[in-house]
Amino acid sequence: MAKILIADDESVLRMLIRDTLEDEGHEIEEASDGAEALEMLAEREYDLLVLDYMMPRMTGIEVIAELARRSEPGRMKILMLTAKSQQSDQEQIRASGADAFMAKPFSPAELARLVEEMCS
Amino acid sequence: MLDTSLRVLLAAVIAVSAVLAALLVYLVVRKALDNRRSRIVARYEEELRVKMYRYLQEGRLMRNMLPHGNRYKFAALEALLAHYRTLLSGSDIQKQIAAFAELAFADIYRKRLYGRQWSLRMNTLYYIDKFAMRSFERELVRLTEAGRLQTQAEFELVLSILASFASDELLPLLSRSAGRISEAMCREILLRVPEERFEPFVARFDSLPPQLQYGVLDVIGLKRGTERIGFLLANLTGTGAELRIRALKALSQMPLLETRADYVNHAASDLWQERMMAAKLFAVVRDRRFLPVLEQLLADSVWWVRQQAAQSILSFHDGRSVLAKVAAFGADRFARDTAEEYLEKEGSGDGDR
Amino acid sequence: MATVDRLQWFGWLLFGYMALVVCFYTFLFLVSAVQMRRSYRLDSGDLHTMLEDNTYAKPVSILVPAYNEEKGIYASVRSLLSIRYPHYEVIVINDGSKDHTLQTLIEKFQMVPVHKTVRKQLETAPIRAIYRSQIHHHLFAIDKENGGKADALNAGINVSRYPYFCSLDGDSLLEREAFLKVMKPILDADGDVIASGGSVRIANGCRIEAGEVVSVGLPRQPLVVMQVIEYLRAFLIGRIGLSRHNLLLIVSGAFGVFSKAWVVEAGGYRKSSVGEDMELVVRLHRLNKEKKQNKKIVYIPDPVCWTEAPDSLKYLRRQRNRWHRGLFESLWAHRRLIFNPGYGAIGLISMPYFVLIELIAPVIELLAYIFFLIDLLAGGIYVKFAALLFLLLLLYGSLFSMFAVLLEEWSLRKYPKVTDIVKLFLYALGETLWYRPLTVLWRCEGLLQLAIGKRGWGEMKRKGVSA
Repeated sequence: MAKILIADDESVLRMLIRDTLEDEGHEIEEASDGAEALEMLAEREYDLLVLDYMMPRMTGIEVIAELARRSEPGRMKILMLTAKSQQSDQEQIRASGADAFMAKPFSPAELARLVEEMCS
Repeated sequence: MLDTSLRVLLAAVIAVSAVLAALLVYLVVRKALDNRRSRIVARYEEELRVKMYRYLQEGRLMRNMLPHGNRYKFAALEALLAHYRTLLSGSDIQKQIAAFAELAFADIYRKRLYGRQWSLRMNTLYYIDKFAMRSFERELVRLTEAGRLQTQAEFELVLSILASFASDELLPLLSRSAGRISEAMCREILLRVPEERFEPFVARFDSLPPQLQYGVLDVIGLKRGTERIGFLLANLTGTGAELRIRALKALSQMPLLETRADYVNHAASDLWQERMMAAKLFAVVRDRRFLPVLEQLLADSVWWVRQQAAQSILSFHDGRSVLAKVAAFGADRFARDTAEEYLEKEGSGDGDR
Repeated sequence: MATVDRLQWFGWLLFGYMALVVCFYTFLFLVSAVQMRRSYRLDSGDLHTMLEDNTYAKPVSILVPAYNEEKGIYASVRSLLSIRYPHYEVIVINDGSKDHTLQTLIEKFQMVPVHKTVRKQLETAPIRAIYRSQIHHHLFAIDKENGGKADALNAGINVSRYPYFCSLDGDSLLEREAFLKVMKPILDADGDVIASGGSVRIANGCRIEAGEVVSVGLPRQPLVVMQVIEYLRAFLIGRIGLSRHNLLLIVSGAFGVFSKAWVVEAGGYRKSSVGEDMELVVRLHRLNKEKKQNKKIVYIPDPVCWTEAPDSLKYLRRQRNRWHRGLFESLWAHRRLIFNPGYGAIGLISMPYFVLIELIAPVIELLAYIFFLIDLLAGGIYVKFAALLFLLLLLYGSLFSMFAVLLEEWSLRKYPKVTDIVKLFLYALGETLWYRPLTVLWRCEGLLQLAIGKRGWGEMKRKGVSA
């Protein structure tokens, strides 16, 4: 079982991810944007951050950059969600420092498998 | 005269005001009803959200999941399923979505396709497409034949859907109506054709209208269809400039390509598009014999060609030093500038486009 | 009583003119209503999933000219970075601002100077430096010397990499989907559409969070509500009607997409002009006819760009002065087209429409108001006639605006609350009584300023949309 934080501005997507991962026995918390996620990350430790790339206020990349700036030694993995339509940023997303990527729309089975892999 | 004018105008103003007032009342009532409707639909959506997700994952219908003539519930289910369709992928899920749509929506959709309101017909087609409701395939073909599709938008959408459904009727339909469809649309439709249905388009390439031919070449490139490289090469020798350019473009999108000496001919073309595509191709084959040619193209009169040449040079392992040489000692100002710009771009870790 | 006769003749002249205008507006209104109704409730969300997947979607350069916009610039650039469009770059052009516009950008987006060969297709004031964001690689900023908005846009065109560009005011917000929608006609038409514009609406009164309009609402100040109505009317009635027949002469400078090749060939934005957006569109039409091409310039109502409206009389007056001068300058620069059959419908309908109706109307309306005054002073001998004119003014001002409000509710429905519609409707009713005379005065004042030779784009004070 892992502690997982989902940061995404779309509530339905959060619900879907939560539902999928809770079935696998993980403990889930949610943040609705980058700033909120950063606050929660400062307060407590998570094993995995599921991070949406495209959020208002702060993009996923900016969240990762901020985390890197804090430079807390952490073992937290980052799974970044990306939309395939966003070509302009594709390379930066690659280079952002996330541990794995998943395209939206996503397959729940695939998500469960990926999270299993990352948390073991 | 004054009196009559005044009277007429007064009557007109009163009449218009009356119409306005009536319209206002109508619209306000409608808005109130609509707002109420969306509140009810939203409530149903909340209620059904988790059930629907469970269904999509496990394939078991729960109680009270079908609309049963309740139009609010119908709208809620439709919106919910459409939303999930944009969030979730995976073949099982797609199958469940299609199955549910066929079960819950198909009857109504069949009626709506013949409705009077254009936007409603369009929306119905979108949903048929989105949910991949294959039971409509024959119906859609019939619609095109009977000339029942009143607008271009409907026609294009139906063709796109038929492409996704891998319909046999698509090729003859497209051939017949290529003149009616824009190039971009043609490409979009062809992109949707699954691989196993694409072969006939290649086999009968010569008999296709030009619009469709361009589309076929573009799509091979976009899909990086390496198994069709031979076919693309055959199109390089033709006299049709546009076909040559498209074939070059498609070839330049291949992940791997063997080199051929005669590629160099395209770099000497009169058409700048062909020269640009040649430069692009050289980046894929990475044959050192083409480096001097690329250096020449760096001084081309057309900006696009110069840009492409610089980018292609950078794809060689010693590309940076080649560009640096040009930037420092090049005879041509354009070439120097372009080289310098690309060196800097490379430095900032960006190689987009 | 010769003077009385003359006054009466004068009155009839006004009457004839205004009746004509009413007829023309009615025609435009009918065309718009039919057009808008057709796409009522079209599920555009679905429309665009198709577009999004298109690997061939044309890349666009978004140009944001900014002059003293330190307050709004961060939010509007931020919102541009989360637009739904496959391939684009954002270029902010700092037109020699006297405040910290550039510094704000450099700090917030970690921008660094880059070397870039600029293809100087259009002459502009010197560029000092070009910056690129280290966080968002598709965000650039140009720092140049002040040259006015047109000059800034031209510099942006020189630096841009993509075949289409979109001009956007530094202090406006795009809906996330707006870009896809405004590009759709261009993507669909295989190069037959050389410019495409969307709607501009007023953001005052809307709830805005992080550079996005979260919920649409109405502002409290009557002066701004009146502008909301005015925009509805201008866009929904005027532009749809004209666009339908390729008669459009304005693609709003606040939100429009253009083919770069065409704009460059037409010579870019004209620097001396204060109405640079309209002037360019007229020039594009002209080029189109002169090259014997059949390219189109279109307006699509649905994609909306939200912009801040001035909420004080002082700035509103300045804006209207400027607009009207711009209108005149554009028309004057292209006076050869007016009633010139060589330019087809543009010469025979659009240009005369703008001259006879948009340009002259305020003068005529002013005369009508003066007529009331004289009549009043003369002891109301022409009560009936005054009533006649008043009814016409009412028809022409208030009633059309009310129709515009209803048309909006009938088709696009951006305002969620029932009370919003009723409020707009009632405000529209009052238009003839106070707002219209004010704008009439300001526009006439603009013409007067022209006569005495005033130039410049009149500095606007911005509070920042997101403040």
